[in-house]
This record gives sequence, C-alpha cells and structure tokens, in this order.
Amino acid sequence: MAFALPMLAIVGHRILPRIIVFQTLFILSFFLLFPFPISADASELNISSETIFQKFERENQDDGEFNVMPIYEYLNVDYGDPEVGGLSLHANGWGRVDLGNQEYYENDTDGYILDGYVQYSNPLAGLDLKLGRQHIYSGIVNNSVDGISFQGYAGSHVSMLAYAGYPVGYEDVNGRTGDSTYGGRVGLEHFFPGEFGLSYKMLTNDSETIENKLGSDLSLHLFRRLVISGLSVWNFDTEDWEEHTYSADVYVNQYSLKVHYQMFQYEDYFSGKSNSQLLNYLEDTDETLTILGGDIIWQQFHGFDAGLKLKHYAYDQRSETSRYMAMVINTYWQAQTVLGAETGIMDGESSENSYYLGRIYGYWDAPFSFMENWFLDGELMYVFYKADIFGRDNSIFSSAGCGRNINDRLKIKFSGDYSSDPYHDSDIRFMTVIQAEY
Amino acid sequence: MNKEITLRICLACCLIGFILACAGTEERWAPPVLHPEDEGENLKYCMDCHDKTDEYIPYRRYVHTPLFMENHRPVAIQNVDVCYMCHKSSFCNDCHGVWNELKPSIKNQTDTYRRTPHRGDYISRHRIDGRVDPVSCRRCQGNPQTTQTCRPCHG
Repeated sequence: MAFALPMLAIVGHRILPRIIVFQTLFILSFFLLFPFPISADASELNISSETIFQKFERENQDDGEFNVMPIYEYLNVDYGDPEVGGLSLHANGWGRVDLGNQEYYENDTDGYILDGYVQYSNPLAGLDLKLGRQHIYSGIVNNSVDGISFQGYAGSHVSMLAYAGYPVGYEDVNGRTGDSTYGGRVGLEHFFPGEFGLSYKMLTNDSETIENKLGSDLSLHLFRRLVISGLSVWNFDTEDWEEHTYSADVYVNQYSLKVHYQMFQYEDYFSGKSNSQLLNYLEDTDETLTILGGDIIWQQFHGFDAGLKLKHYAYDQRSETSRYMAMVINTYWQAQTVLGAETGIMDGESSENSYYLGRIYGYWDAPFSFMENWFLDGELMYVFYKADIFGRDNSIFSSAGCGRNINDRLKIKFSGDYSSDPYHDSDIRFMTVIQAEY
Repeated sequence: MNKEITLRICLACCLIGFILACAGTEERWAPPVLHPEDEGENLKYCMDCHDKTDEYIPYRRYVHTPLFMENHRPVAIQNVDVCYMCHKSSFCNDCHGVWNELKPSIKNQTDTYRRTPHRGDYISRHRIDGRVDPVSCRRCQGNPQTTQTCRPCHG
C-alpha cells in the first residue's frame, strides 16, 4: 500500500479538488479496515513505457514558422495480479516536452493522466470496485470520471454497474464547482439467449445539466446464426428519443452479413444547454438523420479476409442524400505479415460532399533471414475531392517505417511520413519510438 | 438538489452496494480477467478455439473482422470485460482517452494494418464527413477536453 498513497497524491495534486481527495482517502481507509488480501508483490509490478521522438515543421500566416521537436512519454503502470484479485493499482498517462521553438505548444497541456485508480476485485465473484480516474464503458456511458465505480452481480442473471464523481472532460470549464456525474447500468444476462440492459447517465457542468439520459441496449441470439442488437437513448431534458441504432447480423459459414438502421434527432442528440460542446448549434436545426446500411464480411481462412460496407444517409430537413461505400481486402502471410488495400467513396448529391479514397498498406514481418527480428511497413493513400478544398482537389499521404525487437521487452521503431494536401503543401515528419516493459 | 449532496449520496450508495455485495460473494461465473497467454495462435480469431454456441460469451461477435474497428460498439457497451481479456485499458485510451494529443494513427504509425481512425489527411476529409454525419464527430469529440484540437478553427 505504500505505493497507493503517492499515486493518489499525484492524482489529487494534478486533477482532483480537495473534497474528492479527502472523500477518496476516507473511503479507501475505511476499506482497509477489512482483511482484504493484498495480492501484489514486487514481481507483480508491470511498467510499460513508450517514448516517441518527433521532428516536423509548421507554418501558418499568423504565427510564422515553427520547428517542432516534441518528445512524448506514455507510461502505463499496473501493480497487482488481476487474476488473483484483491487490491491493485493502475495508472496510464502521457507527458511532452518540446526541444524545438517551444512556442508551438504554448497554449496546450503538457501532459495528461488518462487513468489513475485503485482497484479491489474478486474475480471469482465478478466484483470490482475502482477509486480514482477511470473510463467507464457500459450501455450509454462512455465517459472518464474522477470518482468511484462499483461493478458486481446480483444472482446469476443480473449484472450491476454504478459510478459517481466528477466528469473529467469538463474540468477546464470554470473549474469543478457545480460539476458532477453519476449513473450506471443494470443488465439481464444468461436468462435468455442474449442480454438486455438499462443504463442511465447524469452529467452537470457548472450546475447546468449537460446530459440526463436513459438507454436500453439489447442483443438477441437466434437460431445460432442470427444476432439482433441495438440501442435506444431517451433524453429526459427534451423528453424525446435522441437515438435508435439497431442491426441484424447473420453468420453463414465464413461469411457474415449485417443490416443496420440508425436514427438521430439533432434537437435531442445535440442538446445540452451549454456552449462548451462542439456542434451544439445543430440542436436548433430540427434535423433528423437516418442511416441505412449493410456490411458483407468474408473471412475465408487465416490468409485472407475482405469487407464491404454500404451506408445511405437521408435527412428530414436537408434536401440531399449521401451514400458511402468502403471495401477492405487483406492477405496474410507468415508471422504478422499483411498486405492490404481499402477504397472509400463518399457520394453526396452536391460535389462538396463527395470524395474518393484509395489506400494500400503493408507490414512485412521478419523480411529476410538476417533480419528475423525486424519488420518493414509502408502505406500510400490518395484522396480525390470532387469540389476543391482551398483550391486543391486531392491529397497524398504516405508513410514508411521499420523496427526491431531487440528482446522480449524492448522494441525500437523508426518511421516517417509525407503529406501533400489542402492544408499542407509538402509536409514531412520523422518519428522514433522506443517501447519498453519493465 | 445541491450537487455536492447528490454526489455524497451516490458515493454512499456505491459504498453500501459494495458492502452488501460482499456479503454475498458466492462464486459465480464471470468472464476470465485475462486471456491465457499460451493459448491460441492468433487471438483475433476467437472461433479457432471457442464454440459459437458458448453459453456465456457469444465469441462470434468478437472476431476481429476487417470492419471490427467500425463495428465494435454493440459488443463493447454490453460486455467490455471481454475486450479487457486481451487489451489493457491503455489500448482503448489511444482513441477513447479524454485527452490525447497524438491521434492514434500517428502514435501507432507503423501499425499500418490497423485501420485507426483519422488516418492520413483526415483534416481535409473531416469537412465532408462532418457535414454528412456530424453525429459521428460528437460521439468521440463530445466534451470540452476532447475538442481541444477542434477549437482553434471551430471556436
């Protein structure tokens, strides 16, 4: 536990206001009165580091030319054995320094803690309790929270998740005063062939309600070959449905077919009574977007797969429709060697909503006998825009790289990319990445 | 209701729920915490080893097809623990983390076979995708922190 307190202090100093730190410490100390097994020892400390060196240049009309040389450090720390359970610690974040002009990032955050929490789990009972910064994915909830979450089961058929705390995404908007978020999901599973869940999310920023929603999610497995799944979201503020997303998947031998339907009402989907969110002006458009589509996927064997995606976009207010088609083909050889291609066509009725995309890519693992620990990779992408963007109708992007596994715990990668497009006349970037596990 | 009071109540409810649940911690089926490292040659093909009629996990839905990146939402919202069997949360953070300065295709540039979002010249294409389907922008760029890169142009 000596490891836990500095971690909380770091999280508390950087992110959490005093009240939530005290609450967290109080609850944690309360739990420590129980004889929970502390499973971790020194051998269960896992640290992975990814150090990224970049070099590129930027020029804009207002601020002139920048020589940018950032170094990023991504660090992930896990302490404890999740299979045994008990107490464990997890942290994940990044930081950056710029060895170049140091003006390019002057208005940006120099680092961020993405996760930082203490966890108590009992894998045999499916129990999980987390304290600290965490990302919650469940039902309609897809949010980072500074707080507490609990996941468990009631009997054999009901799963539960509840969380409460501060919404991380709103911490920079007038501070934490008046911010809070809570919610959860109750799932009914193994009771019928599939699962049904009800989830709720409440989020306030500066005492204004941003999200107050109820969602229902469903998956139903029929005849061993058919899965029907979907999600509907009810907005309590606008008192109407903001989203319906449903699909049917049919599996026949090496093929899978998907038909999907989506409907979004902008008045409800983009509501929020706040100027702090992107695209909020769409709330007033009274638009309804309906998407119909389908996928065909072919996975013949481990050496080949292909996918075709079709989408049709229709609007209630706008008079035009759009269609999107994408196709992906991959061929696989020994080890992780892949050669693939993808195309994409966005076909809007107006030329400004149309483009054609083509991309080929490859990853060659252990290319030669004397390079068995190396890999080579590359890609080339071309996009044609039917209507000019800043006087230009195409983009070219390419990247090439190589890397070497020095041993099981250390890997080094070199790469560079070139871009020529409406935003960049001729842009070159170099990168070196060192991945290490301790 | 005062928001701090609401927050305290929720924290208390979580605490009580945990204690109640601990009182009945009988063993039950739950997804394994980690996929065994030495089993399965290529873990993205779940069906190599798992039965498609598995009673607890519909593994067929988790097979990583060439379109799985676009289609993983329905399985993740119902049972993200299956994802965590193979992926650490830091893997998900590359795209879903609340603030990442490097887009996933740059951070993982040599993984050309992964169809990471916003690859290549997406700054040009996003004008079109955003007009056609703004919902797809909002799903990930849904709060002030995740829209930091949008603000210089979009305000």
